[in-house]
Amino acid sequence: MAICGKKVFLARIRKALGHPTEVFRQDDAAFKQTAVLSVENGPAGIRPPKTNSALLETLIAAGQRVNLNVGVYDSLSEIGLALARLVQTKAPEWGGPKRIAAWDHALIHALKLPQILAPQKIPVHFTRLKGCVPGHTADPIRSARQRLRRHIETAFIGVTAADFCLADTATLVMKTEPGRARAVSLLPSIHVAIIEEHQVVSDLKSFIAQIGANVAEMKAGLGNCLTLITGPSRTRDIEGVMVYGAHGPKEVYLYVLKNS
Amino acid sequence: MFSTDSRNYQTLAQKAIRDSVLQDALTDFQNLLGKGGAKAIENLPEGRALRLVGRAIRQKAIANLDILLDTLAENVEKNGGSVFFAEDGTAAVNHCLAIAKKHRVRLAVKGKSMVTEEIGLNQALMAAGIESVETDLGEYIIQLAGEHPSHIIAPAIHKTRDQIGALFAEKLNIPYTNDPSLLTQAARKALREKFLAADMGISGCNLACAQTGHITTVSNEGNIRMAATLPKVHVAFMGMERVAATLHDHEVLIRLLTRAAAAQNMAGYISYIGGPAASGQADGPEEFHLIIIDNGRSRILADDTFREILYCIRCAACLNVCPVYGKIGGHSYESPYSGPVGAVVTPLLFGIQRAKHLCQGETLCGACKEMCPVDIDIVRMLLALRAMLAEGDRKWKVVPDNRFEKAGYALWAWMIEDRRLYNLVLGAGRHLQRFLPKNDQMLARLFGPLKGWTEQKDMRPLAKRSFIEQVKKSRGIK
Repeated sequence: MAICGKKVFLARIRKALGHPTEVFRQDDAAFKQTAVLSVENGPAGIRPPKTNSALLETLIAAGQRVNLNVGVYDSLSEIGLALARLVQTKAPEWGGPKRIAAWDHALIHALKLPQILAPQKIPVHFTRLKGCVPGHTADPIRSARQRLRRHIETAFIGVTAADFCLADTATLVMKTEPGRARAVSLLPSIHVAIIEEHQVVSDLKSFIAQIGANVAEMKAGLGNCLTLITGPSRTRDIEGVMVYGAHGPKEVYLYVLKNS
Repeated sequence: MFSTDSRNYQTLAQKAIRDSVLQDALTDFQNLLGKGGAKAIENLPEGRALRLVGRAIRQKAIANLDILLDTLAENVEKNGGSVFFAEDGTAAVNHCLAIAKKHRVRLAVKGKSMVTEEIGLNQALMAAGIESVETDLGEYIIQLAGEHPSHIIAPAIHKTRDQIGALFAEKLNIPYTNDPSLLTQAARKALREKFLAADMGISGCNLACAQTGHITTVSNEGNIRMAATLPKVHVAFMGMERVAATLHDHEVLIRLLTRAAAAQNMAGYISYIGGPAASGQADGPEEFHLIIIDNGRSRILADDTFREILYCIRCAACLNVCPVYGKIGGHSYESPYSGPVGAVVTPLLFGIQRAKHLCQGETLCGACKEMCPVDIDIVRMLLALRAMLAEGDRKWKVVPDNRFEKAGYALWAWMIEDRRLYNLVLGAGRHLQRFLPKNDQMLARLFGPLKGWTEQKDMRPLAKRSFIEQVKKSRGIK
């Protein structure tokens, strides 16, 4: 029924547009490709690259406009210390013990969070999908996801990396990959993102230009879900007054590791 | 859903104009977003010229809509998503209900989506025993209050903090407060429970990208991310025109959208969603459904005069600069689509005759076109709708709206072509106006079909001598 519905639906559009009904067939990929590409507004022009320090300055200024706290550090150990201080000073919004959820990601592992937070006796849960043992439960993936979700729900700080950061708007670009739960940047009250300086690009246009030169690369570059995050969650729905923390994180910290 | 009625329009508009709280809110809102949005577009690296690029992108996308939708659907399906093409609202609603039934959905969380308002999705879900919670703070407020959105992107601008405080005290059982941050926190807490318990997430689609097979959702609150990440099923509704061909086109439109809609260089959250969670991924929905809706859009597409309105990306910038919307507010339109864009879209989707008052109520000042991020000529289409109402139109099933008025103008046209006849009528008018009620030399009341002219103001009487007569007299010409 769905196939038939689609045929009828598209036929109606073709008729409305005055397109011949048999111009293209389902299998006429070449035609579609040219037709689609013909509406392209030219390849993304990359503006002259800014120097690294100019990009960082832009990022910090843009961060201030959206209430994103940007800190630039020379080493991972400094970032670890900053994070430990943050964990110590902040209280969980919904009560309960302090817990951290973090991406299963090389840069985050390099911080050695469990060791850094051991003195404060704060557990860190990495969002790796574990326990998918066939036969263990009726639906191992689903139950592993549920367990993971409970860890993220009860965490008050979520720690992630990012794929890119857009300096002009202070935007984090995060593609969904195994081990990188989306909810870590969404459910905890505080989101901390850690990136390396070379991941900072100037804007959305240059990011789109970087992810691929052809359609296949662009598709792969976006994956099944790619999220752009700019500052903490916010709303202006009550009398136009800006309030941070509508549904997502109330505070977002971005720690940038300088190129060595 | 849609209920617009010309009999209500004037009553609602008058009520809105008398509501001083609403008037202040509308003024503040237009000052903030109307001016801010215009400035944000001027400050683009490409400046206002990018609007014309945006327009060209939309024009070509709509001209190739059949190919783009086919490509989009193919790509989404390749990523493991399902696509359903719905001819009308009923088909779309029924498909969503079938998905809900299959997954035994009891609670759905919704992101703001005007197309779901258009098709009455909430009512249908509730009739099927499914709780459907609006999660955009503004939408949540009006859902609790049992009202309808009064703005496309700021649905609760008509409510004050005091009203919201009283509403939350009653519905959420919290102590009364009118502090926006405490009220937001109360909603945050209540909605977090819903997000964590929901079986289905429902969203709209700001703009899809055909080439890569993604829909994008844009929000500042993060509610759409919640709805598209936490529940096991995500259903996205999309008006069929909301598609860009390529990722580059899409990027231009997103930049225009965030500036025009909210005077922001970037929205808080933009998600490119191409399908359900892949195996091995830690979260995301198990199923992703995209419902593409026609519901009268192909009829608009078929008409060259009105095709342009399908370029609209629903940023609501035209509402933020419209002098009519700024006075009468969104509720007077009685449609999910209010303001200048609503005055064109609502008649075309739901019946020109039925919604005629909307295109007749706008001033034709053109601020909407100036502001539109894709340069849509709304004034031209308002005039075309009015012409259709005057002349009638078989294709759109419009009968001439006021035969008396049409006959009156025909008579007028015939009369002014003959100078002697015109002078005769003028003379008669001068004579007859002596019998009309006066107010300080001005005509205070006209009668019959002309009475509307003196409802709000007094009219200047016909001059004793016409301009030509005065010139002739001063120059001594007989």
